Amino acid sequence: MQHPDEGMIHSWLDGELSPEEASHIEMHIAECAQCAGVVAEARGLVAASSRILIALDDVPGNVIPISAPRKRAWYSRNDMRAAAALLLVASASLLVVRNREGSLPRVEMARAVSEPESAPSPVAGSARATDMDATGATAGAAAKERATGVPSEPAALRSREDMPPRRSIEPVRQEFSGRASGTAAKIVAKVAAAPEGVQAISETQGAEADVRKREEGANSVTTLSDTLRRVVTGRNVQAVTIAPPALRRPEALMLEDVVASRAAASEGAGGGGGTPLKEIRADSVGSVHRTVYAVSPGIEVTLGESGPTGLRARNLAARASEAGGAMQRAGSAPSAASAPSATKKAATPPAAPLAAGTVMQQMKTISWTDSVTGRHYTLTGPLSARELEKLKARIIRQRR
Amino acid sequence: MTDVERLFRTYNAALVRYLTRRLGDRDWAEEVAQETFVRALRQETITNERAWLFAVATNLVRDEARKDARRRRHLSLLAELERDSVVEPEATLVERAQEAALARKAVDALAEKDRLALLMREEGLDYSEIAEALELSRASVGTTLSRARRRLVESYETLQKEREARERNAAS
Repeated sequence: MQHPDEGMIHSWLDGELSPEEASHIEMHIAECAQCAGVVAEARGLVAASSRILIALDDVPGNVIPISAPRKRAWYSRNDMRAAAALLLVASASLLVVRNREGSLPRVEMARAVSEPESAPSPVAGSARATDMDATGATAGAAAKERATGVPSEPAALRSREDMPPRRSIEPVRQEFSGRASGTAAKIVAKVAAAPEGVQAISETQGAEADVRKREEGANSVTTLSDTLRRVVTGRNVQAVTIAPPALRRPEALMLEDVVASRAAASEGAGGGGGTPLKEIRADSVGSVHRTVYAVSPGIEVTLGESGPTGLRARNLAARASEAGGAMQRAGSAPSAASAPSATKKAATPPAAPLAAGTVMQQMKTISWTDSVTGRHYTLTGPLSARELEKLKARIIRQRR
Repeated sequence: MTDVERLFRTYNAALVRYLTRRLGDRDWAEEVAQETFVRALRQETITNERAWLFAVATNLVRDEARKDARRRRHLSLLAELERDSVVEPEATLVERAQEAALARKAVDALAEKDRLALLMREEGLDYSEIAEALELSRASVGTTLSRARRRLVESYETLQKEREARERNAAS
């Protein structure tokens, strides 16, 4: 018989041969030492391979994924979420720091950003609006137009003359009135009453959750990532800083009225002093003499005059600032630079008028000391520092 | 007992073992095995159950198992019961892990057809079933198995010698 091949021997060992084939092989192996050695080796291979394969059973689970991991969206990646969370924290910290530094808690920002019609001070409006309202193109543009529309600027004046104020203002009002939901109003009311910036922030966060709940009603699902995205785009900042109706200006003081009166005031202030300022009243408190001038209908400025005592002058400046209500810290750099001996002070604004819902005029104060007489002067009014500087020049000329 | 339960109780252990040896992951192997039984449910007639199951399981591994969570849940319970009855052999974890790593390397070194034939044979499939599952001629199965066994053992012994040499070098 011919020597069986290795495959046949394995088949025989596996019991897969017919009885005839098996008997033939058994007879051959009994006689053939070479084939007997192959059979012995094959038995060893069968046993060894079985042992090796059994060792494969000792494996941990879940070492190989069933399918390749899906590529996740960019906003659901952990690093992007972490970045968004970091941005949120940084934004909140910035608000807290800014609130602590200055006088008005959050309402000042809220008004500057979201309700330009109630913010008579264009300088402050521009500073805050450009910071906060990054995405509100319409509101941002309108606020900017108003903000940069300082009466002395010819382009801004032209635009006011060419276009009725209501046309440029109305979209802004509609947009903000649409956003100014009751919840948002509650937010700002709470924030206005909050004495500390931290509390204001916490209130804001809670109220933001309210806003989110309201949005859930309309849009069914609003996730945290949505909120974070709004933070990234700045939308949520607008959402929580809408001024409530209670804090809005009365209808009698519509924005266009203020614009018109401010335009007249600026013309009076910047017109080189063609007509003397009208002195409405004058009184004295202690050693401080106060004179109230009418710049234009509805616009008055107060000139405070005190003796050469430096301390007393500083006290007067502080009192004048308090009397003036909310001072604008931002936007005063140009006027401060232009005032020769001015010593500007950042006043602490009272929170009470805001909480009570009164109209907050953006009062500003400049101060200077006469180098000849040593007397100290302060000029306070609802105008920009630049406008006050012009009025100061007129008053000085007028008093000579 | 339903047909799928009977199939499961009869072939699950062998199928999971085969798949575990094939894949190197028991959980994955169980998932594929369960998917195989789910497929068996949809099949009206199966002439050779074991060959059919191993063939389907092999193809599922190739194509990657699809999921049918609802039906698989019931099978998972059965699998847990079966797993609880298995008594683990005692050996040190390190030795077992080393042996498993060597075995995995040796098996992975085999050609695909040799590996599958060997794994199926280890699970008790006869030559006809292996031939049917792998679409081979029955006469070639013996040759395939003998080649697979020899290469597996030789590969394993080579790897073992290399490891021992490394250990000696490390010791010296």
